[in-house]
Amino acid sequence: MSNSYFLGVFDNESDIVAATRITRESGYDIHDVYTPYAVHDLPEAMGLKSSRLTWVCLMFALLGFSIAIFSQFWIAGVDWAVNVGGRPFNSLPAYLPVMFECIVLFGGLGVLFTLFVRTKLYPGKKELTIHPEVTNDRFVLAVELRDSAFDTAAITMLWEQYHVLEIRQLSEA
Amino acid sequence: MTHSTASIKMPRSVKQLLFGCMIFGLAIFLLGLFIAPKRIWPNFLIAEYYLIGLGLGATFFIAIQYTSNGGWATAIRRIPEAMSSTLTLAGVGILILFFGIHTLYEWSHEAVVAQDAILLEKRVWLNEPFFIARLVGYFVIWIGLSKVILKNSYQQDDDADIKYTRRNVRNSAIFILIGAYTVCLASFDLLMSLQPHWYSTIFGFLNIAGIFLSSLAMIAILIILLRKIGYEHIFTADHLQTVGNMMLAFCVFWVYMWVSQHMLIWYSNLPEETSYYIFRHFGGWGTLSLLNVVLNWLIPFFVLMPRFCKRHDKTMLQVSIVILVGHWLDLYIMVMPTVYGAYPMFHIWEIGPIVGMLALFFWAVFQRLKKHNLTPVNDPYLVESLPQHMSKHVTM
Repeated sequence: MSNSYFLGVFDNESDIVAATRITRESGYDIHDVYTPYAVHDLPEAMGLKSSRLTWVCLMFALLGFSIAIFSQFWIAGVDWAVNVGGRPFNSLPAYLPVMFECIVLFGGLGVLFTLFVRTKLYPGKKELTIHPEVTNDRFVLAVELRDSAFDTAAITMLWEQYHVLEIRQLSEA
Repeated sequence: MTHSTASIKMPRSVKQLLFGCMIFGLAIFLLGLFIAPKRIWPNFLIAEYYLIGLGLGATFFIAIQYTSNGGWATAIRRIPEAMSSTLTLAGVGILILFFGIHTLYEWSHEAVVAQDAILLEKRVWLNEPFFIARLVGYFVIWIGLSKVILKNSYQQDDDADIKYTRRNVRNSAIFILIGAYTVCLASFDLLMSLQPHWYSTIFGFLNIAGIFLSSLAMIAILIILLRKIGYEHIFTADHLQTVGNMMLAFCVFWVYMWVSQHMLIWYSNLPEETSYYIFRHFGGWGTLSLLNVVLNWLIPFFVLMPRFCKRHDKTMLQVSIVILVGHWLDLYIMVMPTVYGAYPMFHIWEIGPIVGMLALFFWAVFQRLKKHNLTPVNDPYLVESLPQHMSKHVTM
């Protein structure tokens, strides 16, 4: 299956934000917007929904919390109870540092690997560079090109209001 | 375009309420000096430290923005600036506190020190003249640097010269460096030396965390108040959210410090260290210590996590009030068990000083906000701090 995109290359921040907003509002499907740095108003202009990764992070953190609390209780209190100067075997405050570390470790790594899986990133992956100059000083708006009925003339007119520098079509093998 | 602030007018009822609270606080304080001096001085210390914290935390906030070239907070900077100006009031407060040294601090009595081997050793640091000299020194540094930073910022409003920003970056760096040391030392002097046998090296950081958290909560409250009286176009939900993010971070930092101090002392179980927590671990104080963690960490942590809570005025107002009450409780637990009583008490002596001090604080902040532009109109970073449609308007 091949994906085709219709690309508009822009020169500055305010143009790309305005162009993105008008393109979305005109009913085109925005594939993605590529910028050399994080642009403040862009997520809102693209109509991005808030990420679900935060919930994944919370789930992993709770998993880490449960593992830490269970393993410490079980090891120190049940399986290998060692009497240290008459101190109680199980004492919650003593478990806090490991609980904290496990929450951070599981939450952090869990959300990272979830991100890799969801975005299909793996070592050695060949990623398509959408436009060579996006790594330098250009802002690129990519629209999904789904069928032959796509009205390229209309979108070109739309983008010209926002000083589009270059328009091209790109197919991903 | 300038944001004239002539329209900031405190309603009469609010003004009367503030003055009423100030007079109430002053009356309770004066009454307490005669009827219950042992009760009123620790409460005055709490209120005074609270005021110092709000002023210093705000100055740290400004200094962090300058040194990091942070742009987002420029539009709201007049709020921490107004808070920072209350350091002068705190300076007056510390002069009053000097009269209570003998009621508050065990080490200030020569007779007690002479019979105490540990206090004799600590006498080099903990003696009355040096104590007073140190605190005066801290305040000279704090008020001096805060005044310089504020003056540069106000002057930039008039002539739009970038040199003021450059100067303030340097002043802020100096303030952060010296301020962090002096805040730690001030917390050792004012709070930790209430129980002079006990020591904790992390005490200063715990206090910095509490101070900064309460100042952020106060900044949030002031943003919400100004939004309510019609300045939503300057103080946006974005600013509120970012302050909320910082509050979330610092409530975690506070509890991290709190647990670090508490757990290490509990774990090593050494008599000279546990002498502090033995009061605060059981009975009524134990319950309050738990409540302290709930107010300063548990509630803010879960409320501030979702994005929509941080952008919602009412939720932010409520959570900020929870944090400010929590900060008072934090100081109450640090001060009262040592100085007064084996069980917690809450009476008119506890309410008076803090209510009076907060009324004074709000009054001073609004006086200062009225005096200058509500936003630093000529700051080079202002454009970054305002919403898009606004920034075009301002740079014209």
